[in-house]
Amino acid sequence: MNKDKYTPIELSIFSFLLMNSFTSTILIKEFHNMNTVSIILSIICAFLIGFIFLKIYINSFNKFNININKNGLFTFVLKIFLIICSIIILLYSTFNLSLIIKDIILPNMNQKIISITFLCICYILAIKGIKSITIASNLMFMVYIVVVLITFFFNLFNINPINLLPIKFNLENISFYKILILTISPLFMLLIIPKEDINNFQKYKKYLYISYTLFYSYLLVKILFIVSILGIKYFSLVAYPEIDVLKMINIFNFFERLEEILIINTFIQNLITSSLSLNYIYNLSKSSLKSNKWMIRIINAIILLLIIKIDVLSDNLLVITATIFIILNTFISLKKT
Amino acid sequence: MKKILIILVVLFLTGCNSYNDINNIAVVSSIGIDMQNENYKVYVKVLSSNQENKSDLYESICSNLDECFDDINNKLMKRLYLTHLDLLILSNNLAKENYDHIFDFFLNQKSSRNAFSTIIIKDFDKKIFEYDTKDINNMLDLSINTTGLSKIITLDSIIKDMLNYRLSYIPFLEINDHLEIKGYKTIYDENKILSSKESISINFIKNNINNISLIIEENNYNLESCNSLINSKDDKLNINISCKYKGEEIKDTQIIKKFIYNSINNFIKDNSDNYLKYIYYKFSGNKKDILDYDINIDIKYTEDFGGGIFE
Repeated sequence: MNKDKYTPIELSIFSFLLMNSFTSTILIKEFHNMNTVSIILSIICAFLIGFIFLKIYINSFNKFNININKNGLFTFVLKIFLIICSIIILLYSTFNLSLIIKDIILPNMNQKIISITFLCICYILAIKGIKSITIASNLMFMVYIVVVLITFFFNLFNINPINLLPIKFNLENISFYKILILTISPLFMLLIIPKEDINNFQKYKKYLYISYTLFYSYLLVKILFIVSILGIKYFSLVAYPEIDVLKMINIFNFFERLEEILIINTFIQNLITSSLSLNYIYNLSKSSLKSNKWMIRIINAIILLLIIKIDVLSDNLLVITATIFIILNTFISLKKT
Repeated sequence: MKKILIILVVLFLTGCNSYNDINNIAVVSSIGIDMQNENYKVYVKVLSSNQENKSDLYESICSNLDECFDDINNKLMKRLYLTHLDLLILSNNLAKENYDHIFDFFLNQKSSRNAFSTIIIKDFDKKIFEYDTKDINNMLDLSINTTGLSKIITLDSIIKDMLNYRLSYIPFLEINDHLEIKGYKTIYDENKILSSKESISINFIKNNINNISLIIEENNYNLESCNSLINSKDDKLNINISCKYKGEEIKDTQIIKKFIYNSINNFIKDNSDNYLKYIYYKFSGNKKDILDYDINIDIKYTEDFGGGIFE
């Protein structure tokens, strides 16, 4: 077996973390002021409709790579758009993580310094290639699972099922568009991997469906778990409900104030997404311009400038970008090879 | 390039950029908030770096909380650090809007974890700061397992209750010759001091009690492994309480049952706006003025807690 080939299991774990990219920061706000039934229905709707996009994603493997490597002005323009979209995804991922770190761990630190430091780590990982990002994601997934289990078990006694009441059916509150778009869009960056580099693609397909189902089950349990602990009104009031749940962890009255360590899950999600988007940008720029060294330098400078200049980012811009990103990927894949 | 980046990352990760000398921050151990002539009077107890004085007390009077804390900051010439705050002491004369201001203030403080204990004190006095904050918290912790009067209530749980049920129960204390726990005080939509029986009732309803020593007509009854469950059936709220009782006579269980039943029944009748009403609303989805309820108390008599259980 070739060492550089991707195994189905490692790619599906990678996909799971990619789908989780924006759940702790942007996606969780979508559930504000929703009741239990609306939360369940929104996630189920997003899950079912997401299957269509997942099908498109699986069918796009190889077609995307063949079409993107073609010469021509149209492909060049498409590539530029894809690069802009992935820069915006990278910016959001970096910006949101640095904001959380500033708010929770380092209140006196300049947010831009946190962003740049984080970007340096992403850059080191990105230039190592997708294979390295995949291995890193798989290793970090173990830590991710441990943190999730600690959070779950040591918060079991804080659950108050009454917070999930009243059970009222209200169709007006259902919103699944953002959930669907923000979970599926980072996955499309994996299309840059050639199909032949994946060991047993059929098996990957199967594992991806399992990973996708597990992700939505996890999302549903996670949101209901947080709501049952905090109550829907407190959940809607606080900026980071997930961290408020972590604050409540008290292991045998001995281990307290663990939120600053357990926040690592948000770090993992954003690190994986940012590194992949950076790698995606480099790969696309390499294939579009021959003098790629300068191109990469210019892109790095643009990203750095944007991170220094941007103070506020509207969540809607990410949703629009993610939608455009999915449409462009689908369009490229549907083109005749 | 990679090496330069790694050096850059290592340099930034040391946290030297946000470095704060321990002598430049004031670690707050407790805060007191009182109202005087429509002005806030804020007391801040700060851990002292001086070995002779364990802590220093600072106070300020102003129209809003931020001003008070800024004033204390200026007096101290240090930044107040709320992460190690153990106790928030509130005055008995605070109104609904004052609670809003206090909750807003703490929710906006980045250094505050909001997991500190909160109490209300009758006739607010500086004397309360003579007590160690840890002793007050230990007293509350002990109370729930002995008299069942009150437990430690944290600020975030108060905010949660206030948002979800529009009322919250905060431990109510009084200083006479010594500090004494009186029970709870209901705040927000209703402002009422609960009697000791009412406080025990709300603890039973909220499943706060595990072990309790009930004093009924000068007799002491020890209950253990108490558990309560609330559910709704046919538009009726069912409150189920079960406990194990270690005593000499089986007939004692009847006395205990009667005491708990009457306490809870009187609590619901005397407090029109109570926690159970909001629970019922959550179950049924409609607000009713008169609450239909049923109280089931199951006291299991046991000779020895380590041995068998006899009905």
